[in-house]
Amino acid sequence: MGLTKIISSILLLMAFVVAAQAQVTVTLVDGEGKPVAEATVEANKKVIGKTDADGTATLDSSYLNQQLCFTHVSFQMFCEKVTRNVNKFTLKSNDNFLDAAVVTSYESTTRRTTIGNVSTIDMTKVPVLNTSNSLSALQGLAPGLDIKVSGGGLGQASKVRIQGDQSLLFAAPPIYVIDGVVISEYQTNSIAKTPQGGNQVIPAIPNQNSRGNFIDFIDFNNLESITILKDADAVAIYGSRGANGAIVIKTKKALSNTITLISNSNLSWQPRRLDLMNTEEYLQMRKTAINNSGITNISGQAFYDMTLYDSTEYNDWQKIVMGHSVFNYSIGFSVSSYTKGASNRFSFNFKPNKHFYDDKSYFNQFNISNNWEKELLNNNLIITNTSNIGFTFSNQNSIDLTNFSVTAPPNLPIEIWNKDEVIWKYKDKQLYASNIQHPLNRSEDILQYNNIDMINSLNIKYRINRNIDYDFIYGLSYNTSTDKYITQINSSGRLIYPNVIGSYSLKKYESWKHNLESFITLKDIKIFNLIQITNISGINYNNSNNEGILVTYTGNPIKEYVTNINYYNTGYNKSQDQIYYRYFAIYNRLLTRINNINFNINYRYDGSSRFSPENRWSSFYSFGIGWNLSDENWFNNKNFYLKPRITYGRLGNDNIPDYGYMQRFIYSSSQNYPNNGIIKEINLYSRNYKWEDLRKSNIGIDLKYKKISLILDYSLTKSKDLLINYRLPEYLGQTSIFRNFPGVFENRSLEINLGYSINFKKEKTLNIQSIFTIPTDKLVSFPDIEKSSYANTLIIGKTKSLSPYFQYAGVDQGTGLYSYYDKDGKIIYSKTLAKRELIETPINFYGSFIINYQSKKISANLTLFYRNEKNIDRKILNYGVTQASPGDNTNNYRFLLYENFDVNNNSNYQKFIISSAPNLPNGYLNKLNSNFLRINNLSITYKLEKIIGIQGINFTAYINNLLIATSNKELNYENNSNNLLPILLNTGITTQINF
Amino acid sequence: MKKYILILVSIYVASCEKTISAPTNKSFIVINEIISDENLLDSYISSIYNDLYTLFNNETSNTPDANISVILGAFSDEFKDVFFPSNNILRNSYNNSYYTNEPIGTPNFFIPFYKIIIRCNVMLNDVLDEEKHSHKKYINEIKSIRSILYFYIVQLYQEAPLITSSDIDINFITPRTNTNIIINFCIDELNNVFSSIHENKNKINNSSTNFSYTERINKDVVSYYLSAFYLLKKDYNKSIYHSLSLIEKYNFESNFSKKFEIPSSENIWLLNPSFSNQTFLYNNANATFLNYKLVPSIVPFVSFTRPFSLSDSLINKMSEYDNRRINFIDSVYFESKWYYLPYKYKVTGSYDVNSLKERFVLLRLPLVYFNLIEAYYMNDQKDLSLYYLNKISSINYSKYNDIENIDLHIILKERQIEMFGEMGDRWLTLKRTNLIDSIMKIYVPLKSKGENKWDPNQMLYLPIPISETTINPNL
Repeated sequence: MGLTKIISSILLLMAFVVAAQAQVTVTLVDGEGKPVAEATVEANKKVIGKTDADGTATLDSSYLNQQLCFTHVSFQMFCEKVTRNVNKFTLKSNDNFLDAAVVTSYESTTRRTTIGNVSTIDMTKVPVLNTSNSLSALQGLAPGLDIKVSGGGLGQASKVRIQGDQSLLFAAPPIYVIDGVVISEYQTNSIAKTPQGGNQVIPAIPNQNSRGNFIDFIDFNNLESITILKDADAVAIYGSRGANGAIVIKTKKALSNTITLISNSNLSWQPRRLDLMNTEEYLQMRKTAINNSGITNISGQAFYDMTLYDSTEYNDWQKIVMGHSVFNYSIGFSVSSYTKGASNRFSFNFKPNKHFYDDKSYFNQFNISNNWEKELLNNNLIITNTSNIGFTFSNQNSIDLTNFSVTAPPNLPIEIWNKDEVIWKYKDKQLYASNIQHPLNRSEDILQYNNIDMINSLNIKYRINRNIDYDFIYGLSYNTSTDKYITQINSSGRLIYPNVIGSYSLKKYESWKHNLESFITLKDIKIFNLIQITNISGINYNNSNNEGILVTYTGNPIKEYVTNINYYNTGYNKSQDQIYYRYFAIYNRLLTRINNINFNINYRYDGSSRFSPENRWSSFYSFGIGWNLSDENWFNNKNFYLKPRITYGRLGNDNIPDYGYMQRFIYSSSQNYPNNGIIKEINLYSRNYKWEDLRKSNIGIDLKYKKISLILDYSLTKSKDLLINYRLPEYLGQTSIFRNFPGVFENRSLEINLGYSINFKKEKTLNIQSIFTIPTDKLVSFPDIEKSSYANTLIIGKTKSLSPYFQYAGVDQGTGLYSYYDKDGKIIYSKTLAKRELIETPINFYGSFIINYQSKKISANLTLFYRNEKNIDRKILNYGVTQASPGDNTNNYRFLLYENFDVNNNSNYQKFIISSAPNLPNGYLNKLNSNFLRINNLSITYKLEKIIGIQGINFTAYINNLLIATSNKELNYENNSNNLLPILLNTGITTQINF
Repeated sequence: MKKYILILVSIYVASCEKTISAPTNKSFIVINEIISDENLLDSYISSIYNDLYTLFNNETSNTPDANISVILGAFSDEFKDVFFPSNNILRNSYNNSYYTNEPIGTPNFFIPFYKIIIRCNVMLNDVLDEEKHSHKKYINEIKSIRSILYFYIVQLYQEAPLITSSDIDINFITPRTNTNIIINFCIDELNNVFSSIHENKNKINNSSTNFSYTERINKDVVSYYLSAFYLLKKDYNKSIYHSLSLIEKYNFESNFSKKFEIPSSENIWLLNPSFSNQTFLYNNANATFLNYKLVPSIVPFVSFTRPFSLSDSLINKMSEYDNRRINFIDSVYFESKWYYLPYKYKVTGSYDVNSLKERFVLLRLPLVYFNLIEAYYMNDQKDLSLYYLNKISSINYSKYNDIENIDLHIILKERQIEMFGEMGDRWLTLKRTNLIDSIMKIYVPLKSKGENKWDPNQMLYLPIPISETTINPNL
């Protein structure tokens, strides 16, 4: 019902008459004479158009004899006065990220007119990363964008954060906007199905509940640009959902008649190996242990390994823990067809990933995508349809280790380390039979996962005239694993030089004594170039004697007005078990420029079905100022470009489960008491929770001096009414409840993007870029924290990244007290382990160095990535479930899979670990800093041109993930989160042939 | 123009509310649906009974960790030689030590007890309405269940929070409450229920439910728990009153091998078996003992197949003429030794619920008798105490001479022989009668072969799990 109304009013908006003539054309080409498509055309610092696939932009005749500027993500900005009706200009390839075009889907603009904190990633420079985890390729490529690669597992999700966690305890990943269609990772992954099978699983299947980052199914070869939106002004158009930042992705469209073949073959392996026992050594160890226990009769189930192991059973633990080398490949093609006014690009990619742990597992990905575009009505109506469909067929071998997870497997590491020292060799210590059990009773279970993911975007752009355009997007996404479809409608109208008649008071304050009024009066409106506008705005102040002061400004301040209606609906598709999430927003944006200062004002009104009707709606706003200082007449230094900018805004957060405000029960007919179904409570409910309130401010500077460019941003987010999954003790019925917490959480981020570029002759360029981020966060206040369930896990004034620290020293037999070492090495006795010492475990900084060389024949790329993290939790020491007895100080060396509880993420997870622990209660130990420097990508591309019937061939050889230095000797030196899987070293060759 | 804008805006706003409301669906039920539907209310109450069954019989993953009867049996002098290398909870219980709040190896009854209490509170406070006549019977049942849970809580944990609300904020800050306050609260509540609950021995309502009077709380069940609470409170006259009212209504089951079956004339309250799949119905109370009866036939460290072997002291207390010695105990001969194990329940499970004759018996007549005997004894009415002890003994023994001089040890001995393996009755009785120190002082060194000593301060109550105290500092 509501939808029909929206559509009808949209149609109303569309019912304007088209009246536009195009008389000036500009064609842009690159150094090699190829047309430059999708370049932005700017006149008088206002975006007026874009080049099409021929590199041509058709403009209104009034732009004749005006200075026009052209920007493109891969080319230098170029400005020229247009003196003829037909013009052709050559663009130089880009040496400077300051000149990049900025694409935010609903609007394209240039870096120079942007005032928010926005980073653009040039997809031509993104390294080839032929894994199932495509998103990890973006690591280090934008300041403030932190991608934590979980490991080398197939389909494993990376943890993505923009400027860190924005919320205290319910932080969510950013949203992804694919051709205007908004996808939230939280929404798509939170309810992924859990396959049936063993509950303890070896690392061949990391994260089996996850199917990776949602956008991993998209073939990165199809992407044209990625823009990272970070501050309140930039994400305003995505509203409350943009509170965690937005990654805006635009797919490629056809620019010529081309067929491209792409193939990639690569080899991955784990360069770090453990020194494990061979079978003979293992059996020797077992015999020693059995002898020590005085066991003489070694028949029976417990000693199967002694009789069977060496002949029929051999578990290659080296392979299970470290994997083996694996050869993978991918093949794909794209077919582009282009005629004036119509284009279509179809691409197909097949990536059969084999697993490096386990030969029985595979993860096959197909991707089909299509980008179709049609221009009508003299280029004033553009209809685009893009589809991305991914098929994933995976076969994952789950090995249930439940039965022997508490014991040492064969091929135990000969040396086991603790605090970087080799402290034990099995031969040196007494070892008992109960310390080692054979692992022969494991069960394997092949789990099938088949997924189809789909995103479709239908975009209608309708330019009514020079001043009014209209943009409509219908998005549909679906995936089979969650059986969830998401539909959304974005309807935007843009008005440049608004033709509004009349006078309107913005604010009125009246009392018996004073009268204050501000107003905008628009007179002499220019309608379709007929009438000229004169505009008066000002403040009128009257006191009781009617002696008024009138402050007025006469001019034409309103440059651009965007209104946007955004509707988002998600639900399960099948049967009646539909769960819906609905979202509705009205958005208004006003862009104004007075002289060289840009002003942006955004206001929106958002409603989310996740809140109770009384708390459903909320207002969000932002505003910003950017001053192109170097354009001021008095600045007078052509070598300088300088733009300080500042933004501030209120954002929200509704990343909480659906229906959480309702008390819900579930009926089940098939359990327990005969003939009478049972009813259980689903959740603890709270009707009162409302939007989380985030205030985000950003101050930044864009600077360019000759060949050096610098973007500097400092942002501060303060979140109030913290919407958190408030932890509860289990005895109260549920382990958590959603609510707003009256605390304040603060997040700061300092981002530096420094570049230097050299242009050689003959189109050779060398770019050097350094990207650096310091993220910090702090819990500012939390009322009655000492009485809350976070009394032992959070500290006011400190980062939320805290982890309990202790190193267990034993149990005092006399008193039964635990003893453990504090971080200074002192022994502490405690009755409980509740009051553990909390130490800070933040990311101190991360960043990258990127060197890029481009010439006509060769391009080369080097991306170095580094991160420094403090006190990451090593968690290699965990006792699991067996203890000989409390207080028994016999060292039990274990090599085990265990389940742990992550205080920060409030979740259980499993790890494969090497344990040299003496008896330990479940806990955490051994904090140490993690530093690493890694070559994320080193690649060289050789370009061959025009060989018999072929337009060109590119050969690329690359190495990815080459660790150079690390202070953390864990298998996965990068990550302290879900597992210890290593990141694979990967090398390969890519061939691209264009016909 | 302004007018059109206003119209447009009003269209948007009007359409917003409807557009944004996410429709409810059939995957869940909301509270109003339950309130008005008696079948759903019955289902709700079923699920609470089911929780009770699970709590009292819990046997997760075939390990007896969470079974009250087993844990408290290990804690007291019921078992011997229980050594479970991989089972911390049983081992620690057997050693009478949990090392304060040790995260591993502490039996966790606390959480399931309170989870059911919270469910009762939700039903009492949010769902049921005192004013509605049709709701009255549910209110009586739920209030009784809550008090019954507190009956065990105060004996297991001593001071524990008295939670009567469904409001999470109130519950969160509810501190541990004095035991006497909890006991008085429960007595008041049970007395209220007692005055209005039905005596009906037939089905409670005409719905399709299968409940019969013995499976659902009725006046007799309330009466028993009142007698037990008064005994705990040392208000012996009132305890005697309620016990006497019960023994008039029930008769002893003469066939000892059928005492845990239906029908049995001496059973007051039993719970239907819980089963997790449709193919094989487990009666876990049986399975606990039957599955683990085996004496070490395999190597020592194959852990959980270790036996529950009844202690020598218990076996030695039984005369050869004791019917319970014959019917309640099984034995295994292994490596020249006899091992004894509980054999009250004889069937592990069945494929057919109708053929599963045994039920989990929570209350049976002997329990009432022993409460009465104890109350008379404590109330200095030793002749009556002796009278009822001889009355029950004459049934239990095939050859029997009347006891002439009664003392507490004799009462407890008879009670232990009758009630071993049932809800930790021995352990709770020893604590209630203050005989625990004198008995465990001797038995703890005995069962640990001299390694442990009895420490009454540390070992009388279970610790509240560390996972709960960590998250709730108000506990």
